[in-house]
Amino acid sequence: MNEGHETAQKSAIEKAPYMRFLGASMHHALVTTLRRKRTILAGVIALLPVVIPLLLTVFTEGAFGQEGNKLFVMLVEDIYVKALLPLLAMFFGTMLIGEDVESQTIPYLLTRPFPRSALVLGRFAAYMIIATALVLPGIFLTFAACTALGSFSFSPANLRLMLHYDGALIMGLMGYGAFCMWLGAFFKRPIIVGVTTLFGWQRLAFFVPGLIDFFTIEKYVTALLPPLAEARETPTLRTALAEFQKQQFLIGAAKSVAALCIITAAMIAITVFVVRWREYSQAKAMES
Amino acid sequence: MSVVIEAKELSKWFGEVVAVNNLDVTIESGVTGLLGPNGAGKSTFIKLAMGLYGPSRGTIKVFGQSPRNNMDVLRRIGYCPEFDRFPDNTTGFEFVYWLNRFYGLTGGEATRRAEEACERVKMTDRMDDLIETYSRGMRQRIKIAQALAPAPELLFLDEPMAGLDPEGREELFALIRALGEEGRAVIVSSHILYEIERVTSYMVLLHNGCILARGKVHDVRELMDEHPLAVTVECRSPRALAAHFAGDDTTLSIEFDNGRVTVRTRDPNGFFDKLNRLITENAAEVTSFACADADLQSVFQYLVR
Repeated sequence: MNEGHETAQKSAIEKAPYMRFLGASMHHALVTTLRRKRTILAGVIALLPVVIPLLLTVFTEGAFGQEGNKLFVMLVEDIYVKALLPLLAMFFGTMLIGEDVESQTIPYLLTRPFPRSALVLGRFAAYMIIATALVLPGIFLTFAACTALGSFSFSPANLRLMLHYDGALIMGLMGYGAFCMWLGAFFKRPIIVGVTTLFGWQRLAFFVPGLIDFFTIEKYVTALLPPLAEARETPTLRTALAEFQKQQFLIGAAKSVAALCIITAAMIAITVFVVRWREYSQAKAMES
Repeated sequence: MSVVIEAKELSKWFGEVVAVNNLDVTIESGVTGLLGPNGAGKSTFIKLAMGLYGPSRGTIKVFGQSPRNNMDVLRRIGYCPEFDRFPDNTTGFEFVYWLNRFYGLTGGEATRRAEEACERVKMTDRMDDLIETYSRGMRQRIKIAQALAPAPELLFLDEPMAGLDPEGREELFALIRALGEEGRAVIVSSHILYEIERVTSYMVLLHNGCILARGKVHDVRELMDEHPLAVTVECRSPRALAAHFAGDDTTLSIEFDNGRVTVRTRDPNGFFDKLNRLITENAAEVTSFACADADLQSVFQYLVR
């Protein structure tokens, strides 16, 4: 090692603006996540529903053919919203902080003069960019593939329907992602807790009578979905949709958006608190 | 010299395990050695000083302030941890670059400092390779580079010599001394007295979370001199190597075991100087050497008595 190297600067590094830290955190998370093989895998999974209408176009015909409108609604609501959304959030959300905890590299970050909130917010922003970039093209391609089945076209009403789903999915990614990021920061095995909560508890809560389903994220995401989406092109139904939504879900779209924003903000705040105060190397110290 | 770290009645426990026990210590600028066997509380003390842990009792102040989540303190500190962990799929340069960015440096400044730090630890040639492809010594160098890059006023080096070859050790010894001469505070932890002696004249001796002795290395050394140090050397011709030490007055015994020779000496400094020379000259084709931990442990037990 070069002892004769020029004398290093004596002065400490000056305080940097908050946005620079936020930008560095987001940029770093984007670069590292995009390099992961799991990102490619997630991209492939997000595009799988597109295959279904394509296969149906080729292999079914006549009276047995599936209507494009029905199939699109089914694929988005049953596959994207109920399965892929929590899966992607778990895939990426838990690793935002959890990967550094798991690989024991988090002390490198926590010994930097890096506002913890900037670390968490930057990584969450990177997750939203990547997850949205994976899901929205999948929705669009599914939409396009469904138009090949008939009774479904690139009409303004149908495009509005797709944009409605896009909005609901982004809100869902936000809520689920913040929750999973907290799981990654707090639990030793976040994937196990995530599967139990998102695929166990959420399913169970909908079968239990009463209002227990209000303690799920899915409740607020499904409340954002367009009711009677398969018949939205019927003008007489449109006027009744808002009232019907309230009756069906017991919560309106505006309140659902507010609920998801509150869940996201609360989870981010708790994650910042956990990252600030948790002693991440403690388990290792106890072992030694 | 100014006080950099001040601990008062500092204790840290994990469940029923007491890692640091009622420490009262002040550390000034310059190089300070933290010496102690494994589990003595060296790393825990450093993590308390870095703010990675909060004290269970007592206080610790760095630059006059509590270090936990204190950005003003962390801005002035560099840390080379003892663990050998790195982010996946990352080159040495990127590792140092991104950790520089987390100091709040701009992209250009982070690049410049990362390149300088890699040059300082002689990793320029390999800095664009993935860390997964590095040897243990290279990984150690890149860890030191990330700690040096922000030019901190206070530098914690936790077991920095681990994994380095003899040449690398000598370079690191020189680097640490140079950093101390620049006026920086450098805290070096090790469980090998010889390593501490090579970089500083001031040390704190820890055992079971307590301070056993502190002060000039020479004074502590005198306490230990009566206790011999055993060094096991693995080489191609153990008997030829042993012949170099057999005539020394300070050599107490020499034992052979399956391609290895264990020398018990009263003068570790003289022994290591001679061994380094032999390695450099490739006179004995040494493949590895190690101080027996058990012996260091017995030195501490001797001091405790």
